[in-house]
Amino acid sequence: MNKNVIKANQIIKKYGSFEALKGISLEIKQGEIYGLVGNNGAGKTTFLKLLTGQLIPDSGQLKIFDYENERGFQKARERMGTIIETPSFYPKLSVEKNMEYYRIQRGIPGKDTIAKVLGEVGLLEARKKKFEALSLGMKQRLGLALALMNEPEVLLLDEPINGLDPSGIIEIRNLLLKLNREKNITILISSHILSELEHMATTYGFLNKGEFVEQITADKLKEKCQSYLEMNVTDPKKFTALLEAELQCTNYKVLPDFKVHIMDRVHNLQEYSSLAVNNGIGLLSMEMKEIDLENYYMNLITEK
Amino acid sequence: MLNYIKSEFYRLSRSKDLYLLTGICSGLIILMNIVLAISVRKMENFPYGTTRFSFGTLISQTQMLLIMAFIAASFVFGDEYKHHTLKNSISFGLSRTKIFCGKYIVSLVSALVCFAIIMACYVASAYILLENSGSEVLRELFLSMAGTIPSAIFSLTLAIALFFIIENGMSAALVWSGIIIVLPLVMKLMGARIKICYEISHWLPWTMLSGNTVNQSAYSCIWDTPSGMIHCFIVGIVSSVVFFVIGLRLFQKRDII
Repeated sequence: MNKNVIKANQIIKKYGSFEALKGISLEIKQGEIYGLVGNNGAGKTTFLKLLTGQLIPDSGQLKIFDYENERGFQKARERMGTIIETPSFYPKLSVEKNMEYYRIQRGIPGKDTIAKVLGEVGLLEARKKKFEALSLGMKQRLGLALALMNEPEVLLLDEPINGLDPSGIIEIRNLLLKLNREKNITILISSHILSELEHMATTYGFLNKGEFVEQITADKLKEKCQSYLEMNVTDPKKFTALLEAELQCTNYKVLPDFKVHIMDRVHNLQEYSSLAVNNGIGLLSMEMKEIDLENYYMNLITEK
Repeated sequence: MLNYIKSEFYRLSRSKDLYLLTGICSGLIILMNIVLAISVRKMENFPYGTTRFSFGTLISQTQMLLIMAFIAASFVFGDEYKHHTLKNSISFGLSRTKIFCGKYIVSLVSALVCFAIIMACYVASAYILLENSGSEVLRELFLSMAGTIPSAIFSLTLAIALFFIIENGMSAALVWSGIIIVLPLVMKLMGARIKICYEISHWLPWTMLSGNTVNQSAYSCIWDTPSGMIHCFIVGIVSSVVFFVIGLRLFQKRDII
């Protein structure tokens, strides 16, 4: 059993009177790729900033590696690499000089470290360019290079593929997967591009409006994800009442845009369509679908 | 903290800001001495082509050092909030205390080095280009610098504290000028009617330094007497310590967005 590298218990963070995190508790085990899923404003970045020390929690307990206080967290952070929001560097300094600045600051020996990490993220040729002249994708790569420079045991990545082109996304994804497999680096990655997380994450944590909704492993999520029937009807309320009364179907979900998801389909498709049509309900569409991460998250937060 | 200080010196040595500040100030001072020297040659009985006049110009305007200290601090701070670069240091485990103290030390050392270079240019150009008024004026210049440096350090401390506390550099500059310039002047004005305000204005650097009289016929400065010099040191040291502690405490509790 892998041990926890990050453990949060009832973390609360307020911005003035606004509660950005409402008692978050989660555990991240060594070697995991933990996908933090949530809408904008769900609290993903706030949680990551608490881990990096940018924000100070109002209450709750945090454990990083074996450290449980701020002095310890500072030691723990030396073993972490981070990208929080947009990568930020000194705009007038070149890529190489920015990296050298942080290499000196972090006491990392050997100037060749810089060339090595810049090579890893595909930025070696742009090393003489000023930071302000880089494209968003290149800035993102530089952020990743900085995160990797101290050979971290944990990577905290907030939307790391922002601004990357499709080939860049694949490159960075493969690099992260390689680091996780070969060096057993634990990765906590937040993204609202759920399809990207599906390619990588071994565990998911779902956040919604500052609350922690669920933590589930990728395997368990696969088990839970089943096929369902999506029906688009003109009167979902009447249709679901009929579903319950006539077909004894209770496992369904009503979604916005007149959509009804029927989870455990026991009747044939014609029976469902007849139920709508014969009762004067317009049937706009009907399709068998698979639950993916996106649907799963949407179902979770609609339930809440 | 040593690594942080080293990295800051590395960054400063690679940016043009402090070189420009030092170069422009030194250039202006040398230019002033050149103008004085030319005037001596062009105008008969021109009385100001002396080291006494040149040095006296600075001695009567030592408040300028307070502004220079602010500019040096702002260059060293490097718009950390604007560029969001503090997060890279914090997220690597550097404590806010180390960052604050590191920046402070780097600002202080950088400002003192700039100051030493500017003063060297000042004194050297004056002695090369102007009529030597004797060693007494040089002693007066050094005394004035000794009396002003504590207040300049206070100005720098306040600037660094404000840059760490207030995210917007312009707002920090306004608060700095409010505390350093406006408040003392208001106190001095109110001092005409309210005695306590008059007393307070003597303990505020800007008005304390503006009370000096230096011209061709008169010379009277606060640092002439040992008690006056002690007064200058107390003002500088106490206010520096107070604002250093306030700045550090507030920064320790500050979220880095």
